[in-house]
Amino acid sequence: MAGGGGAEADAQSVSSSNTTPKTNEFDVASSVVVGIDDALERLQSVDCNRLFGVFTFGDAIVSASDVMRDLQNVFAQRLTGGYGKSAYNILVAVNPIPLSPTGTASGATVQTTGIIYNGTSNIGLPQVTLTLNNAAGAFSSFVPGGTKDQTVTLLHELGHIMTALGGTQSWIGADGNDPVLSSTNTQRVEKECF
Amino acid sequence: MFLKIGLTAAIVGFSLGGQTTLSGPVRPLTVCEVLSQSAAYNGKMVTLKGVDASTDEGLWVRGISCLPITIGGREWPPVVSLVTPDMALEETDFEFDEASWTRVGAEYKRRLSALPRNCVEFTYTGLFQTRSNWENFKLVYPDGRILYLGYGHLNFAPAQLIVKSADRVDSLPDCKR
Repeated sequence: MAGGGGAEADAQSVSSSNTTPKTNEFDVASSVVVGIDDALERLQSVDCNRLFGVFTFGDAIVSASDVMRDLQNVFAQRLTGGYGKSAYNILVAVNPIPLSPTGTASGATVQTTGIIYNGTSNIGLPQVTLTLNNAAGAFSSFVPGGTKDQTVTLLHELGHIMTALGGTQSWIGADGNDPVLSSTNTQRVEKECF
Repeated sequence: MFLKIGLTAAIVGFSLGGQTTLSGPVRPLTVCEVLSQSAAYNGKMVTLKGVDASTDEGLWVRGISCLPITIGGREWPPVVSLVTPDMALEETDFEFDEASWTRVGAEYKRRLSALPRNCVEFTYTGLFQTRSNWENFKLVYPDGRILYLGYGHLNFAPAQLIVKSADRVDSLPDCKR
């Protein structure tokens, strides 16, 4: 794992919060599984599935449905008290993200948080952290959204995850902190998957 | 020699740590100032100001009219990712002052009609973090694509502030809507 201590904690130190919400937090884990089921169903559609492309992992070609099933498995483990280990090095963090002072609500974010470097090149998959906002009353697209809101958010972030894990065909482009691009990505998911 | 080192330390301490050593009110640093000396502020508590650039995929503060920000040999947007201690990857010795955040947000709303979003500057205090060696945080994909592991959504920012408090909201002088 790259990096050291201090301000550069390596990704293994990420402590995804457990799924027991505080009283002011939305119970993401028990509801997100519904959104994941819905997303998996929508990924059966050719139009929806082609938004995400694939990435390679060893000899395997990994599809968006594979990754979504992996997330399903992570949450299934979490709901039964497990850690939620991902086959594709995805960490799921559930944290309250406050509204910005101007009132903008964040639903979810994706960040590459770790790499393994052998001195000459990176090996294996990078570690990618998906953070879901569970702040109650955040009024984001994720909390306290209905199933459609959650599905759209999950699929939007799935597009970023596919790219972060090495895919090159995702139509969900890098939106950084550009609200217009982010909205365009969301609209693309809504158009092709619903 | 000893004097020279001491003097240098004093100058550096004054110019970088001036926020805490000067008496009277703390002068917030701009995002541009902090990013232009990011290595020096790395791991330090700072008070910084900039405009809100948050989206539905993260909290950000952006510098105004910064000169190009080159960190680790590449150019970055003049943006700092904002996270709370809960969201940070490591423990902090302070908690997020949620009441200050709410207070500043309420103050912004009160003044909203006179202050469009891009004409408002927010001031935050928190722990500033960046990478000290970007080569250790460089991801090269099989297709040759390179990703430097910056902060926030899609690693977009060269630094993050683990926010302790939101301190104030100010209108930018001569700002056009």
